[in-house]
Amino acid sequence: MNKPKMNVNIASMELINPIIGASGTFGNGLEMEDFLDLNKIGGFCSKGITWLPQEGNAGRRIAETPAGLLNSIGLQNMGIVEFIKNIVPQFRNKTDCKLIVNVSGKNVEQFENMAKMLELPEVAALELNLSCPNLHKDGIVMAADPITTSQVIIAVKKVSTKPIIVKLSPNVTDIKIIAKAAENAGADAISLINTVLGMAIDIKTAKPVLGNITGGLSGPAIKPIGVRMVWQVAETVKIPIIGLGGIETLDDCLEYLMAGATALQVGAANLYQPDICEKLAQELEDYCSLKGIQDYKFLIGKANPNFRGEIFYGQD
Amino acid sequence: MNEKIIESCQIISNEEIFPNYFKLKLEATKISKLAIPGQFVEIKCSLEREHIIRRPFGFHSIEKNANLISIIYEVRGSETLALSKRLSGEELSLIGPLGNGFPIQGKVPLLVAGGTGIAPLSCLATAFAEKKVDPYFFYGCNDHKAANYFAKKPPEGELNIATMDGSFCFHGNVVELLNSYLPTSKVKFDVVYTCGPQLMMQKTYEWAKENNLTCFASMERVMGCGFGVCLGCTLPILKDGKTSNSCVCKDGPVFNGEEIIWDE
Repeated sequence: MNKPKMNVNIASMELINPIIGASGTFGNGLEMEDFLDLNKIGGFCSKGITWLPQEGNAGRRIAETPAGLLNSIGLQNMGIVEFIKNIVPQFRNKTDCKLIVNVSGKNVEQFENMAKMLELPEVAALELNLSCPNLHKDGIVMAADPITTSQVIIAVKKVSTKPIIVKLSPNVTDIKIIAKAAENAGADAISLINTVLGMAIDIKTAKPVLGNITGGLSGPAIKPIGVRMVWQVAETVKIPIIGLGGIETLDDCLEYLMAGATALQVGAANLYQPDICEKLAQELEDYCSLKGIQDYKFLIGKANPNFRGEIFYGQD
Repeated sequence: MNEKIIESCQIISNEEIFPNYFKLKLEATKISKLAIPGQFVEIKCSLEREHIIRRPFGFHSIEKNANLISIIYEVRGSETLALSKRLSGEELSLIGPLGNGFPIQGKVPLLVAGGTGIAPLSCLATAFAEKKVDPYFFYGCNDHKAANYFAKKPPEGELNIATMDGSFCFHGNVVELLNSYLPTSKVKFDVVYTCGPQLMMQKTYEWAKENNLTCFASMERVMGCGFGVCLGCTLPILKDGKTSNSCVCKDGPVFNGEEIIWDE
């Protein structure tokens, strides 16, 4: 049998395979080259970039919880100007691994301005971070409001020619409403889930463990939430979904694909197994070969009878 | 940028050297070749999926010719407990070497260690000895159990020990020991290195500053990755008159004491 097809097109972005390093766990890509070959993975999402440089949150930022990682970094980053000057040019000759820039604005104008500045050939797509839970004490995010979500997307679509991926938060009452609003506003794809708002208390000091009190939970602990939300959104919208939340094994990839994800992001696992993205891309290909699946895309939505996205028919 | 890799390493030995403290010796063919004192490895301690994050440990010894490295650790939580139960012959996954090591400078170095901070400074002492420089080693620990062990297996150089409970040698902390030692000594140190509890390092730095000496401190923070992508282990660092958050894992763990905002 021929090698299975692993490539995928999301909006106009062609990925060599559906494995993408998730924002905040992959640095700006180059840091990971010690551990893997970037040209073996579909792409990665940059650390969340803001209009101005940000120092992030004070105090302790990381805590391990059962099968999970609680973090409250607070979007520490160099800001859009420095990012464009120093990071983007390094991707000029990297054709296979797509640079998806994760942008995080405080308001519609900042999103719009950053999108304009990122009309650069090295940038494959934008991922709008409407869902960082660590920017406010109460963890309220833009992605909790369908109207704000729409406004940001409409503004960005007006000025950007890039595929627009909207990253959604699980910290909402009904993800379907937000996802539908994103699709209607013109989003090209949706990525979900961002981290789940959580906290931990140090019982010895009787104080919250994290300096910011609350943080975002990631890792295997949140996988069932991510799979459920991808499933729900796959029943709601037709645009491609990039599934993430606790992916660390081939089985996790398959679950997300079968729930209705077209591509996958790997997050926390990069921190403890920094070659994981390359491994998963290979394992997914090997799985398809072994099972006689000619195109991994046949797996998309396979478990979901109400899947509304594009169905790839074929022998499997 | 320093080269770093993921390596599966066989456990040569994993012994309790005094109550609750272990010395882990590993065959690390590649990492041992790349490592320098002050750098560290991230170890996947437990095999259970409940525990996902690796834990960082500074090099206690690096034997490039024998392909060996060792670390010393205290059993403090679930991961160090899991590590203490791993047996020789088993494989451990390591990422390393990580971070920047100690800049090796000076002719009369003073090394001030507290608790498990003796591990990376022993490694540094060995590096000095290889350059025919004898360091002065001051070590503070809780009691005679630790003191006894290191008195029998001393690092390179002259070793002075303080115990908090007074059960071995000097009674008090290591900075008090320094202050009592110096007036009677003719030694003129030209550089200071410190590793241990933060308050101890702060006191050491303040002492060094009073004496116009450069002091390098190996800082500790809870880490997510160990190689600078999660930005979880930051501390405010003063450079060129500006304060910014730097990663202990990537920009450290060794910092010039001048750059550290001690009363953060």
